[in-house]
Amino acid sequence: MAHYRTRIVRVRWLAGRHERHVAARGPGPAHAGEPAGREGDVRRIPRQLPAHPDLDFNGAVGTQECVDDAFTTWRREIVKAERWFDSVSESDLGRMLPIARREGEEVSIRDLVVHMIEEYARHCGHADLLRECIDGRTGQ
Amino acid sequence: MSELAALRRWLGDLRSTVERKAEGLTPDQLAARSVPPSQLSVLGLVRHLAQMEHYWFVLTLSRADEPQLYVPDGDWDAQFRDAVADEAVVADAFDTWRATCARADAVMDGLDPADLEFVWDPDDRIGSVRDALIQVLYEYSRHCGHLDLLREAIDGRTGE
Repeated sequence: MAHYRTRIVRVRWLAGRHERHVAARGPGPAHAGEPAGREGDVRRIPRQLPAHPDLDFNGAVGTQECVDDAFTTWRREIVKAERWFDSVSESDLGRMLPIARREGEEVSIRDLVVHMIEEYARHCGHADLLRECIDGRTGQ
Repeated sequence: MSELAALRRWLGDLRSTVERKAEGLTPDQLAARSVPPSQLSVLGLVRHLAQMEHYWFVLTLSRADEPQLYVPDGDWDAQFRDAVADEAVVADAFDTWRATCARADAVMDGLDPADLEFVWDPDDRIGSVRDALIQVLYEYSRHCGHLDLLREAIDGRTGE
């Protein structure tokens, strides 16, 4: 069990990196691009950007500046995302959008939104265990 | 692709993630707790996901009159606390989860895409068929996040 605990503690360093990662995956207009208006079979959102896929985690260091930047950036992206959501109507959900930095790949708005819920939920699962490791706090 | 088909495809992916995260682990590893005093384990999560699928698809959407899975006499902690390193407990958890997923699939096979709009409680945050399916995806995703770190702690394995 001692060994097991050590392995868990090893992942503590991820805690500060979390917000940066979520901010990097925001669904704002800069990420989603212009609508292509095509229906059809849906391609998945790529899980990693082609260049420097780990930069959002590797660059997360324990300085106040880095922490402030992460939360400011994350909240700013949320505002942009909310503004984008305001422009989407129910009937738009099946519309296809080109995926930023993925030549020729598209995603439906519905899949993009469900994917964001899945990303947040899975990373909240990571945050659950990281926070419990740090100070024992649990709960939703 | 219809919304219902898209949601089902996401659910299928998440169930596969659970299979991958649990693959090849011994009963001891499956029952290993995260950090004391937490009772969280891979095995406990499989039992909990069986309970969760059963609750939403069988009890809520199908209105079946059955007791909750792994909640004996209202003891909610039993799902995790009683997830012990025993071959029979492990076999039961995975058999029950997979059987419940099959029952859930049968429920979804009976849904028409328009049924997503069906509302049984407009005052509840989860009061429609669509809300229930999104909640199931949310539950799976969050618990897959737990499985990610549990599995990495057990043998270092990471990945989607």
